[in-house]
Amino acid sequence: MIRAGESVLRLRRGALAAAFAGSALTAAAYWLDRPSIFQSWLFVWLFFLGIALGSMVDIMIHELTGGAWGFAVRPPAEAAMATLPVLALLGLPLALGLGDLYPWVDRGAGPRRWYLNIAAFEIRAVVYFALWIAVSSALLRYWRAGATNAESLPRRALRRLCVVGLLIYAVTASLAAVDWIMSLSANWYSTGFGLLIMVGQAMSGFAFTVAFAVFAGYLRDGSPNAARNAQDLGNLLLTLVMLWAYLAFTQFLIIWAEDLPPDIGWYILRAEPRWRALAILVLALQFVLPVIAMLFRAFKRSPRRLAGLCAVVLVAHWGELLWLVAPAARPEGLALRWTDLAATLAIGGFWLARLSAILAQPRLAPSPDIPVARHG
Amino acid sequence: MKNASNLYGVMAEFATPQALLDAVARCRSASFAKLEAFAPFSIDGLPEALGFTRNRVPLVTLIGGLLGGIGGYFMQWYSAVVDYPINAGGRPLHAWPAFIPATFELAVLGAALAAFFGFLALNGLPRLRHPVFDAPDFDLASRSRFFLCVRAYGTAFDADAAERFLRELAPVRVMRVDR
Repeated sequence: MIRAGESVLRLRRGALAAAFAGSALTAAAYWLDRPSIFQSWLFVWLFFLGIALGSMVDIMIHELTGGAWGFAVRPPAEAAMATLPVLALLGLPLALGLGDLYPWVDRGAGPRRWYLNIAAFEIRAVVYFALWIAVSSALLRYWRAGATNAESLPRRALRRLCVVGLLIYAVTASLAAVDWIMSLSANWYSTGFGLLIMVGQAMSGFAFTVAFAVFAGYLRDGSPNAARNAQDLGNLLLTLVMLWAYLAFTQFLIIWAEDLPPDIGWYILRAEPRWRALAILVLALQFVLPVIAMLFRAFKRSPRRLAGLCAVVLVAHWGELLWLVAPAARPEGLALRWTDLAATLAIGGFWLARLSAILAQPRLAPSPDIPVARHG
Repeated sequence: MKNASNLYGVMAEFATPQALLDAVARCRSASFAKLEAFAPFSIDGLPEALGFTRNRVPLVTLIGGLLGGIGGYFMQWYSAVVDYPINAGGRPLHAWPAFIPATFELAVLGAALAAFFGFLALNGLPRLRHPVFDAPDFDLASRSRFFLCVRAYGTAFDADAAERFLRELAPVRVMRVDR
């Protein structure tokens, strides 16, 4: 059995306090600054949802590929995945603000009306969450079954579930990215957008998992194999940030090169000096800094330093979602609003409180009954 | 008795990787200055036991990658802006987004070439003859035996003492290797 440490229990008290303060601010913002709070709530909610979905993807990939690195950080990843029902609840307030968020609500979506209307949008959101929660709870059930009878843990069935789960995720997450983010701007399309969002989720889920595993003491400097596990985790982080940069740049290059009015408008809106500065900052913290840090073996092999880097990547990803979601509603330029803070405190507080409650329960230690290979 | 200055080193042959690892540890604690080990496959912990921790291949690779990337970007900038400017639909001549993919590819090419040739050059390869090739049965180093060579290094090297020391480690045999 692995039990969460004291730091997780302390975190839970702090998270609940933040959640209540954030909720009070959010409620006030609903009356004072209604369009703004929905923008903030949407991008912050997508940030935490991305961590939960990304953790689920990383776990499924680990179940299929194996490797000692994964078992070292599984508890926080599994807990993040188990927060999906809470994230579904935290997404409900957005239903009140669809008219404030999406241009197709008031103006209509023209010939795409059959797809982009409030009823279809809400039904799809329910279907996405039903599928994600079904996959994640099926995965959790397998591990709980293993708690009583580790030898009979059905490895083949679990692998099949992971394959099906990854396929379901690829389709639903791509559609959800179109519904929730792309449709914020009328008439803007990018075929690679779903993939870009999915890689961002896998990356932020991974960064959160590693940072939290070190914070909560699952992975610490000097513990057996810590250096080798940290090196494998560092190489995987490098892979994820490079994949993210590749997809983000490819989308930009294609749209920049074709230079067609409906597509390039999305980037022109984001080329306002302060939004552009945010884009450069995200690129620096989410790509350049990790790549340079990972050139140094000593950096990679220290769990504490790697966790610090992962925390930086997480903050940058919060900025990236702000950059993806908010410019349509803040054309005057980037300005952090108090509602951003309120939504981050509220959603982050409830989410972390739920996560630490899950981690505080006794759980099955991940027992690798497949050969544990070293990767990297 | 051979002339010490003509001696490359004293070599011992072992039957198992563990015997080689133990011998390396013993020789290191007996402060023999320079050791070389030969094995048919990579042995976990052998580089660390030999005190072989860092090498310069990563640095050479980084330099190769930087040269490839900078050279690739310069090539595109020079051809598009200076040497043969073409107006392509009103886009700027210095179209940096379009230069990035080729710059990246050339950085990877430069790094790969630098890593490959840097590895060869830093190891003094290719090399057709090496003194240890003259040791009897040394061809087994690429099949089933494990060799440790204590290099004749410095004026204080005592070949007889080295030979006696190596015999205590229960090797298959001990031999002297000439330059």
